[in-house]
Amino acid sequence: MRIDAEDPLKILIAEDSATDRLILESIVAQAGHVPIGVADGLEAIAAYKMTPPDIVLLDVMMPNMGGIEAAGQIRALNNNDFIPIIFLTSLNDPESLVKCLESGGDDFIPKPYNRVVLQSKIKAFGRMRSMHQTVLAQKEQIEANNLHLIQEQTVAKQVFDKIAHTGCLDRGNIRHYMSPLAVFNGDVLVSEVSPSGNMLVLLGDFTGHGLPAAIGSMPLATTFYGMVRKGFSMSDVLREINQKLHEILPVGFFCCAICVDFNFKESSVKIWNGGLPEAFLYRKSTEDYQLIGSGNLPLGVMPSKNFTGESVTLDLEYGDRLFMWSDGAFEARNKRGEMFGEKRLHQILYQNKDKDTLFDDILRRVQQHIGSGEKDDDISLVEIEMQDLDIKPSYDISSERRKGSLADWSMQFNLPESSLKGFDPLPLLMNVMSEVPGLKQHRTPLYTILAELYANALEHGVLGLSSSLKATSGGFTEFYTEKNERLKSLTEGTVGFTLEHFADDKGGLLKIRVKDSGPGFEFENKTIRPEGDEVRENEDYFGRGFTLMNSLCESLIVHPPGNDIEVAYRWSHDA
Amino acid sequence: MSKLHAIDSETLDSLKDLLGENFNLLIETYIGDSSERMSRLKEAIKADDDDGVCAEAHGIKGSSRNIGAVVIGDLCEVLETQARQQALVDKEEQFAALEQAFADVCEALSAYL
Repeated sequence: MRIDAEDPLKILIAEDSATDRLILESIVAQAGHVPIGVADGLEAIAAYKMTPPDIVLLDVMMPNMGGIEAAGQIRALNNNDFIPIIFLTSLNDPESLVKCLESGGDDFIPKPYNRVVLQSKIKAFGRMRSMHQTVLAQKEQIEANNLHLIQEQTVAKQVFDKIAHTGCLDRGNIRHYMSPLAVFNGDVLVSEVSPSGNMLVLLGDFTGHGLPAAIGSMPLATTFYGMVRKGFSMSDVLREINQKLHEILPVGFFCCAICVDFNFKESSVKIWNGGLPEAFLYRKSTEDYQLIGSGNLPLGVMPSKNFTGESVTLDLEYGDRLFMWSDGAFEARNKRGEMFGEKRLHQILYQNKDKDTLFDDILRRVQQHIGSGEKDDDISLVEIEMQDLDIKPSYDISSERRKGSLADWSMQFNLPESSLKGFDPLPLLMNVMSEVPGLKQHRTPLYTILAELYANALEHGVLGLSSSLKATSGGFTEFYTEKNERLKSLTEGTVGFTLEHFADDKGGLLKIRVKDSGPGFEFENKTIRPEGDEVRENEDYFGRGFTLMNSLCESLIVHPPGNDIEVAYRWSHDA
Repeated sequence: MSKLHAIDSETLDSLKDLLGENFNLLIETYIGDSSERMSRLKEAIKADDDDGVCAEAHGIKGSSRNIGAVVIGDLCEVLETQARQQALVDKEEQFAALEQAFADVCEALSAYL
């Protein structure tokens, strides 16, 4: 686009000589612009205020107020907008010309007027003014955008702070530092006390910066707090966060994280490190560090089925301290662009072993390195000390448990012959049970118990198979062939499950009762003494199952006539 | 016709072209405005008012040159410069010459109307 005098400009002309003013007005009008003629400086200022012009032409010598004073006052009226002032003068001594420019003038035109020169200058200054207006408009746009961005970030931070709050970071055994806008650097720190009194802390570092890095923090924080409060284990929490992040983050975006689970009752810690720098565990007894490096992929990289929530479990003593940081700590750069470096950080750690001020020393040294000019430091640093603590969650455990998760419940589930023929009820029942936070950890014993109870009910109860078959060589094959045939021809039979769960602070009690439509067994002759050898003699009906089940369960009752078995399984969050 | 040298006809022609129907107004304005300035200049000379002489001579010089009255412009420039330096010499004689030149210009301009 050509920027020239296509748009008519308003041109203020201050000239005391009526003759000259008439000539100037004619020249301006001929070039297609709009002249506004006045006779002195005072009139010029009044006209300027009434109708701001695009260009001002000022005669230097005028009665009442000369051009130089008028130029100064016009400039004072306007700071931002660029309105060129051109002096009209027959003066030609350098001193006078310099005075014109110093008072705020941009150029001068000698008298007598040359029409062509004057019109060219108007055109040139019109172009400059237009460019200036474009720049000004862009500057305002940038300022508005920046303000908008800051407002958005403030709101986003407020939302995030509500979700992430401080958890249990205010506990005396934790020290931590996060830069005020850490969430926009992609760093996140969450911590919470589990219902059983463990302290879980997760330090994460999302790839990237700004809003994309901040977005992932929200589901991470909500999942973390929601699940820890319900008593889910660290590996369950990590698995869920991994799955959420894997689902929502674009490829190439993930979260390097370190998650720790401090058990104060047993003085131990579970540590899971996925992609963050080595954590330093200071052992008071040996006065040395144990390093816990990353053994996993970051959160959000792998689909759920390939995710390993495997952690390292370490026994601790009081006074042992764990240091964790994101790589921002040693990637902090000084003015020369030099990084603080892992080496320097390790040096401080080894030189200040067992000093209470170590945390502050690290922080101070990194900040010294960055220097005062930088505002956007990216340091996230956490220290947790193993102490003799009996911490209680600050939230109401029972109400947290009630929040959207299974606590107390019972269910009945009956399978008639049509379903017995092909349906496996165990996965369904396992799914129901794993909805109880914490109970998922017990899935191996629970599966064993359920499988035994169901096998007994179906095979011996409904189908009337004898386990003695299994005792002979090739008996297993025969047993299962027989089982399939009897199932095929089954016309009548049921297996019913009754499950009841009672939650308590430590965990809960799960009662499982399985009743079949079979005749039962000669109950009174077969006293249940699972730990004695006597049971082995009665393997006719129920094989080895009872011994195993009884070792897993709190109690085992066989209701007469023996087709109705009830077990009680007590579990706790700690296990 | 001998008075025509008092004015630069080329300048005047281009002004006629530029101003069109306003040309007559320009001439009338010049003559009216300059006559007033001439009387003020005369008074300033009488009163030994150097600043007044300087300002009026400057004004007449500017507009005269713009319409092509170069002789008046040159005469005014001498007066203006001397007055600014407070070194006026033979000011009555100079003014007389200026008056003569102004009369010539006015006569020449009338021919253009």
